[in-house]
Amino acid sequence: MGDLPAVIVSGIVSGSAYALLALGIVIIFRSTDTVNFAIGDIGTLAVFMTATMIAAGLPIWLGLIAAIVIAGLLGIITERTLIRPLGHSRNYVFIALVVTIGLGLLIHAGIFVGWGTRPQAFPVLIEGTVKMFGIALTWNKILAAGIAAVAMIAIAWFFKKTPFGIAMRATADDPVAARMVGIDSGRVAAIAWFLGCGIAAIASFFLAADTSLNPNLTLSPLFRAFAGVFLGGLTSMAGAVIGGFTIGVLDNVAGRYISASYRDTMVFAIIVLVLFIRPAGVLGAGRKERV
Amino acid sequence: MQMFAHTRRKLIVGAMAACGALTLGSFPSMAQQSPGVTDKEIKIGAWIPLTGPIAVVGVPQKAGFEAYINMINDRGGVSGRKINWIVEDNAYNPQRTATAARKLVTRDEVLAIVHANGTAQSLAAFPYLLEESKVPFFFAYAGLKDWWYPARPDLYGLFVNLENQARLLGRWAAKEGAKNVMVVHSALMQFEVVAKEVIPGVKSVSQSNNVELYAAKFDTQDYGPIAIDIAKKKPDALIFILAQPDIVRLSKELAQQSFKVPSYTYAPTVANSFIELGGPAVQGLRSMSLTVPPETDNPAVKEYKDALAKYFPNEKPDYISLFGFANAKVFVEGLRRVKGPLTRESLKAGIESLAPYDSGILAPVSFARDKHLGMTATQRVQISGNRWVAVGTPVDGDKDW
Repeated sequence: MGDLPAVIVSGIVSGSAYALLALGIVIIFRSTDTVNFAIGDIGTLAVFMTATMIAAGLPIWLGLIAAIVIAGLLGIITERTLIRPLGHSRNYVFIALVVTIGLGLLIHAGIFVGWGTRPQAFPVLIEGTVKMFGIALTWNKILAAGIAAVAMIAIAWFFKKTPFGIAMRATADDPVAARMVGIDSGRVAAIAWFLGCGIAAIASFFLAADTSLNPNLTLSPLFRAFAGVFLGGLTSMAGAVIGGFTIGVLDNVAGRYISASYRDTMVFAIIVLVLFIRPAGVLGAGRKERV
Repeated sequence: MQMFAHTRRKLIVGAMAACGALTLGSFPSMAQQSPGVTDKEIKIGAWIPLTGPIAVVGVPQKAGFEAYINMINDRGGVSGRKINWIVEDNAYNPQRTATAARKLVTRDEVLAIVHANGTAQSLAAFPYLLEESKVPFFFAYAGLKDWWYPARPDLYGLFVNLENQARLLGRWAAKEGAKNVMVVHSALMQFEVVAKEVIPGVKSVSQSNNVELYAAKFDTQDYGPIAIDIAKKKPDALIFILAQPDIVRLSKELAQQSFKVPSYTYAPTVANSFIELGGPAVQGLRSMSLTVPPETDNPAVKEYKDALAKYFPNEKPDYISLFGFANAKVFVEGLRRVKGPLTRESLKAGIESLAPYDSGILAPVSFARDKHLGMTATQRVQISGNRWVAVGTPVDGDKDW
C-alpha cells in the first residue's frame, strides 16, 4: 500500500472527466428536469467537428473553445426542438429520458457516417508529464482536473451571485411564479443546456487527447459519471463533481489493489452500499430543490 | 354465384402457377441451383464488427475482402457469376452474431459464410451454422486450436490459430532473454485461452522461466493503476493479449511511467493505424504478421493496392485489408477449381484442392481432406519508425524454431 497516495492522485486526475460530465448532467437536470443521456454524444460530436477544424489549421486551444461553443449550441437546439415540445406532462421525465437516449444513438450513427468508425489520433493541449508521489501524470490530465475544479467553482458562483443565475434558481424552484415576475423560463433552459453540453465537450476534448478520438469516446466515462451523480446526489452540483472524482479514485484503488478485471464490480458495490444508507446521495437533498 | 367465384379464383391461381413455372423455365438464371447459387450470382455472407471498439479491425478487413470481390465482379465474376458478399455488423457481440448467422442462412440463403470476424462471436454461431444447418464456414478472421485439430467437416481457415501465435510470442520473448514474462490479457474467455498458451512457449526455452498472467477488463478506459502495478512488478518482458485500443491505452500509460521492456503482441494488432494511434509509446513493439508487408514490391500486392485505391479510396494500404484481400483471393481460387455444379460440397472440394497455392501475399496455403487450417506460418515484425518491419524469416506455429 506504499503507493496509495500516488494511486489516489492518479484517481483524482482520471476522475476529472467523470466530474465534468456529472456536472453537465446535474445542471441540465436541475434546470429542466431532464436526464440527458445524449450529453456524452453531443460532446463527442462537437470534438469530432473541432478535430476537422484543427486538421485544417485551427490552433488547439481555440479548438477547445470551439468545441464548447458547438456543444453548447447543439444543447440549445436539442432543448428547443426535442425537449421543450414535450411540455410538462405527468410522465415528462421518462419521455425526455427516452428522447435523449434516442438522440444519443442518432448522433452516434451520424458520427459513423461522417467520420467513420476508426479511432483518430487527437492532439494534446499541453505536452509532457510531471512526477507526483513517485508516479508520472500527464499535464493533459492535470489540466482537465484543474478545469473541472474551476468549472465547479465558476458554476457555483454563477448560480449564487449573478442575477441570471439567481433567476435560473427561481425558475427551477417555481416556474409559474418566476414567469409572473418576468423571468423568461425558455431562456433559462437554453442557458442550462448550453452550459451542461459545453462542459461535456471539455470532458470529451481531454478524453480524446488522452487516448484517441472515437465514436465511443464517452460511453464508459458517462457510465461512471452517472455513478458519480447518484453517489453525490442528483440535486447537488458540488455532490456530482465530488462524486465523479470519488469514482475515479475508487476505480484506481480497486484496479491497483483488488482486481484489474473486477474494478467496476468493486466500485459499484461500494456505490450500492452508500446509496443503501443514503438514497439521495451523499450531498443530495431528500426533497427535490432543483437549483 | 359463389361457385362461379370459387372457379374463377382457381383459374387465377392456376394461371399464376403456370406463369411462375414458365418464368423459371424461360429464365434459368433466376432459378436457385443450390443455396445461394444461380446462373448469375453466388451469394455468400459474413459478420464483421463495423461498430464498437473492434471496428478498427473490422472496417479495413471488410474493405480488403470487398475490394478483391469487386475487382473479380468487374472482370465478369467466376464462371459468369457475380459474387454477392452480404456483411452483417455484429458489433463484436456473440448474441448479434448468432442472429446474423440465422439471417444469412435462412433469409439470404447464402452458399457459405466467408471471412467473418471474432472467435467467441463465431463460436456462438457454430451450433446453428455447423451442426444444425451444415453451412460451410471459410476463413474466419479468428480461430482456436480446437477448431482445426481434428478437422471439422464444414470449417476451413487461413488465420494462424491464436494459441500458436501466443506460443510463438512466448518462445520469442524467452529466446530474447526474458526470464520473468507477464502476459496482460482481457478478462474474457477467448483472450484467456490464448494467454495461457504463452506459458509453454516461454517454458520451451527454459523450464525455470516464470510467467504471470494478468487479467484486465476488456475495453478498460483507464490503465493508470494497471501501469503502476506492472511497473512495480518489473517483468523482463510484456506480452499483450488485448484488443488494439487496449494495447494503445496501456502502452501510453506504461510510457508515462517510463517503464520500458521488450513488448510483444499477436497478429490482430499489426496495422498502420495502430502506429498512428500509439505514437512513440508503441515503438519497438514486436508482433506476428499473417501477410507480407503492404510495401512489398510484387504483382499480388500491386493488384491489392490498385483495387483498394479504386474501390475504397479512403482506406490506406494496411496489413488488415491486405489479409482480407488475400482471403478473398484464396476463396475465389477455390471457387474456380470447383468441378461440376457449384454446391456446398463441390466448393469444399475446390478449397481442398488448393495444395499448395501461392497467393503472393500469404505464406503458401495448403489444404487437404483432413487438414482444414491452410496456413500455419507467420512473419515476425517490429515497429520501427512509422512502420512494421520484418524480423528474420517466417516461423511455423506448429513447430519450435
